Amino acid sequence: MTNDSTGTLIRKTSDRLGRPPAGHPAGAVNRESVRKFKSWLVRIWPSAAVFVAVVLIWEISVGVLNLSSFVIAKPSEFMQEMWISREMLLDATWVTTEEILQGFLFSIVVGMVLALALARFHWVERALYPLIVLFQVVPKVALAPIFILWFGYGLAPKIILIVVIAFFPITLNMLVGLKAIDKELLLLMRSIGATRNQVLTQIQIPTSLPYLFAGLRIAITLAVIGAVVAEFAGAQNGLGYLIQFASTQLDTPLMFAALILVSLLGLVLYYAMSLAEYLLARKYPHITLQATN
Amino acid sequence: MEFEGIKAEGVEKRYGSGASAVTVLEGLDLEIQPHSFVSLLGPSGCGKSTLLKILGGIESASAGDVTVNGVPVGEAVRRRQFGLVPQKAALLPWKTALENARMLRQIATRRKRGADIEEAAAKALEMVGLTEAAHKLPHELSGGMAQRVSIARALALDPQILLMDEPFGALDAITRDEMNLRLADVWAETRKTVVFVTHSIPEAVFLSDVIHVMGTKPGRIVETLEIDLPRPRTLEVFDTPTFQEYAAHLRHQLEPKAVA
Ligand SMILES: Nc1ncnc2c1ncn2[C@@H]1O[C@H](COP(=O)(O)OP(=O)(O)O)[C@@H](O)[C@H]1O
Ligand SMILES: [Mg+2]
Repeated sequence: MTNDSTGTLIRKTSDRLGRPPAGHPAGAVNRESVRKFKSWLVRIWPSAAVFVAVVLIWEISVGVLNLSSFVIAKPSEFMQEMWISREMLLDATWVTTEEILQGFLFSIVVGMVLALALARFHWVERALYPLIVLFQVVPKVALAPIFILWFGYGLAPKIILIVVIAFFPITLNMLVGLKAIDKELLLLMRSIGATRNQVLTQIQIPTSLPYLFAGLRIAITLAVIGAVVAEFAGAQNGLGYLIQFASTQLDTPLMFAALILVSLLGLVLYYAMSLAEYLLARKYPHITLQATN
Repeated sequence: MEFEGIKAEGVEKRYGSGASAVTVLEGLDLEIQPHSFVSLLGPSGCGKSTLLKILGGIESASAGDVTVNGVPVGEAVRRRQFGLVPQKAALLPWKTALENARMLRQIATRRKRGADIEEAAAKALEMVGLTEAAHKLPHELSGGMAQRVSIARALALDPQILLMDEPFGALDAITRDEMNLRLADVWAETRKTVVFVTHSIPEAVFLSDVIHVMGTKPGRIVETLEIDLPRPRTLEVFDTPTFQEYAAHLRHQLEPKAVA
């Protein structure tokens, strides 16, 4: 994942397109889920093994090479640190989570409204689209200090930075989905004298849902980056703040502990998005999407 | 008011402007009798789809008039007199066959529910023989079944006119024969006015009361042929001498003329 998704590439996985949604005959469900779990295990074990190996090599080599714990902490050290500072870390995790969720929520609103306006009104598209794309060139991380200057050390600058970073993949992907309307469907709609609003609400919006969710999956990881960067620039709490604070104190185990927690948070939020997609839009074709630089 | 059919006078269609303009249809006059099955037959690219869209008010002509039942075609669209069956079934993949059959009527009437909608959709599915498959999703349907849902979706609108643009063009020959038989039955039952676009001579002869043969560059009507074959028609019609005469005549008519 990169923090710049201007060159977002969207691909439909043809094998998933048109698969039946859930709806197995009763009784087959259990066997089916056991089978699925087994195939999941088969898929997951190589990466799990590599993960464990890396942690072990890390632990052993830091000891053998006798590296200072100022430079790099052993996994056992920061696990210990995590337990010792658990209250502070949990508190910081909660603060950052709140920033991410609020920022993400605003990003969804801004991203969707923009996509809908761009798709519905030609003049909006002509006026705004080039500017939005141009705006993508701005390294938004560099805006963090400016937002702190303007909006202080509270929640506001964090939310604004997250929106600025995360709205674009939402807008872009939803817009692609809104425009992916079948030509013949459009003819059908015109043959009954349907209005543009009807085409939008009845055809375009449902068609765009899988694209929207693909954009949301990118946006949630960008929201995590946005929160951490905003905290680097100026904050009184949060995991990003802790990482920076720990680095000034040369408290490397704490730094690593916070880093691990941010990563876990990102992972959990990403899978929460996938779950939300499954619950809300599983009957629409699934879109796989890759962000490239 | 008695339905008067479709009249097109001096229809012209150009795409583009200036030096790059192409004239797709020119000086086209056409009259379609109510409750008749009419085919537009011609080679690929001669403007059949364009003409169908103009007759159905989906696209506007560059010049000329189209009236339906004595009113301009745009008004006929507003009165929901057309049911379109496009070349591809274009079903919504997340809706079942029944939901797809309902869809256009729901949008046209701006109502999600209604006894009339339920009844029309169920009846339309029955007419195309898909009652059994009502709760299947599009990806569970064969190409022929998907086209039948598409026809049901148009029938559920209960339009006066059915516009069909090569609806069986992508089907294999056997399925196509089956679909033609079924469509003939549906037509006999509903007596909708049908405008049917095809480039298949046997299909046109088998289904039609009247065939308008189209020529190309620019698109125009070169011959109007009445098909005088008894109904109901079965597949045996294909083997009758009259059928073969019609087919031979049309083939000759459509043959690319040798350059002198
Ligand atoms: N939107 C368009 N712009 C330019 N040319 C078009 C357009 N639509 C159709 N044409 C041209 O008009 C001609 C007739 O097209 P069409 O009506 O689709 O033919 P048919 O259905 O008989 O195969 C073709 O040569 C096609 O290239
Ligand atoms: Mg065509």
